Amino acid sequence: MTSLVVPGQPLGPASAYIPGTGVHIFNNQVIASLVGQVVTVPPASSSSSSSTTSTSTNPTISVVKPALTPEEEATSATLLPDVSSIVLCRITRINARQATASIFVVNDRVVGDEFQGVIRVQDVRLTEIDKVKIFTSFRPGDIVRAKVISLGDQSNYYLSTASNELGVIMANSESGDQMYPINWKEMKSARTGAVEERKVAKPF
Amino acid sequence: MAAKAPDRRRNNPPSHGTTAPVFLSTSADAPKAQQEARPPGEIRKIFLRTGLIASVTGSSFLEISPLKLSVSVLGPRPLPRSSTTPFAAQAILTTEVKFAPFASTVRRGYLRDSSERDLGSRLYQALVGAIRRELYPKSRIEVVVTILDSEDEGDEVNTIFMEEGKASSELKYWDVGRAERALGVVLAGCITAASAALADAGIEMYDLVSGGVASVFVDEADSKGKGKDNSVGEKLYVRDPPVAPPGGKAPLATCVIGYMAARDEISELWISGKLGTRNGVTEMDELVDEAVAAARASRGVLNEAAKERVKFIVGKAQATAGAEGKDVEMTG
Repeated sequence: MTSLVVPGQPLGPASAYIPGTGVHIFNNQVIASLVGQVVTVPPASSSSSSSTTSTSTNPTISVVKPALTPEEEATSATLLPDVSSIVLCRITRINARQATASIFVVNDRVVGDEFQGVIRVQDVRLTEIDKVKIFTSFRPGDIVRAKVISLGDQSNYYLSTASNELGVIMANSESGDQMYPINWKEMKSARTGAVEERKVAKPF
Repeated sequence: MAAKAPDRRRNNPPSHGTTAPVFLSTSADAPKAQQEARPPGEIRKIFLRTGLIASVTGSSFLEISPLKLSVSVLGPRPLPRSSTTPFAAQAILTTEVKFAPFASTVRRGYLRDSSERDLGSRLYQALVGAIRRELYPKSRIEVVVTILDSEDEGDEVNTIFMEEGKASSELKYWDVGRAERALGVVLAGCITAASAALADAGIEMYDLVSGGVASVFVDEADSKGKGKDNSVGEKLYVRDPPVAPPGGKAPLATCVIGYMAARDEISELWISGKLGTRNGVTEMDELVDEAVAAARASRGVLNEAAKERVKFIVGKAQATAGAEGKDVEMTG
């Protein structure tokens, strides 16, 4: 039922479809740019039956490369962080101006190679940004949920944790045992009861 | 007394002595490279598979007897951190072609020589326009080709033939363009296999690029008595030419192209040899058309090879779906 296509194969006129992922438009034709199966998704709102000529009623066409296993589906070797992607990263270095992090998950998918990102001090939280101190927000080894705000310079993606849902999600205390969040800026060790400061992500 | 202390400064032989190995002679039974009889318009049979190397993003293996090569595609991966390269809005493609030391009739070294670098840059040119590089900012895509067997005769031989072929006409006719024909078949194979590996890697492309090669020959007598009017007899166009020219024929020129069949675009064009100036335009057009036809012929193989992995996954998914359906029937 779903046909297999190769790059360069025409899928239909550009006027009849909205191009999705894995396709491009050339000579007013939707052309596949991946090897995979053609997936056509009808327009989301079926209520607009009156305006059939509008472009919003066109189905979205995309080419999807199927994955063999769930593990393979969870990883993607060709995935790159993009602006507004939600990433998981591990803090590697900190200094007064920024925290450097290694990105290993982009949009819930494990990447092939880890990317380097930085969280600058002004991007740590939304309010009172001039009072933020990196040392009371992150520590090396923390796992942080962050958002990509820029592709950055040649080596670093710029990340931000300026949102309630963003920040440290896993951290170990100075003595090395795991901590749980107690409020938006503190985490407590499960074993020793020691409290440390972090920019904590709001649990879902 | 105790045994002499062992000499640790030198590589010592085994204490019990050694026997020289005796190898069975296989040279008598070795199959000779037979001159296959195929029409000049037909290309050799191609064996192309994808996804053989698990540790890279995409890979392929190609065999066009006697040519054997494997391609690995790595990336898109982050750019090296310490490099002086500026911000790259598009993916940076690097291509590398390496002959295994045993891949040519004359043994090669481990360092890349000039013809390998040349093939690498031609492969880059063939592929770079086909990849949607703007989708992969700040990253690099590496294409690494390893040639395991070929009809090529090594860099030194190539250099001599290529330079002399241009410098003088003293060269024996059957040697003209010999290296170009061998390298042309290699390059066409590299292009086809690299596209298959890129498709296997799931890197988005405008079109697959297939390689094609064609040579033009004239009658030996015509080539010797070639007058200034350039009036030569019947030309013989051979697609996917063998290194040895057909009997009684003298080679004129060889053309290698990288061709995107769905868009009818040529991404790489390499012509070497003699094509007459007065009739040059038509001669060249005819030769390019032959190479395009050869590339079209290999495109069919390329399409099937690119689909291979997806086909396998879909087949497996359908098989499990079918099994589940059977289970439901049995319980119900």
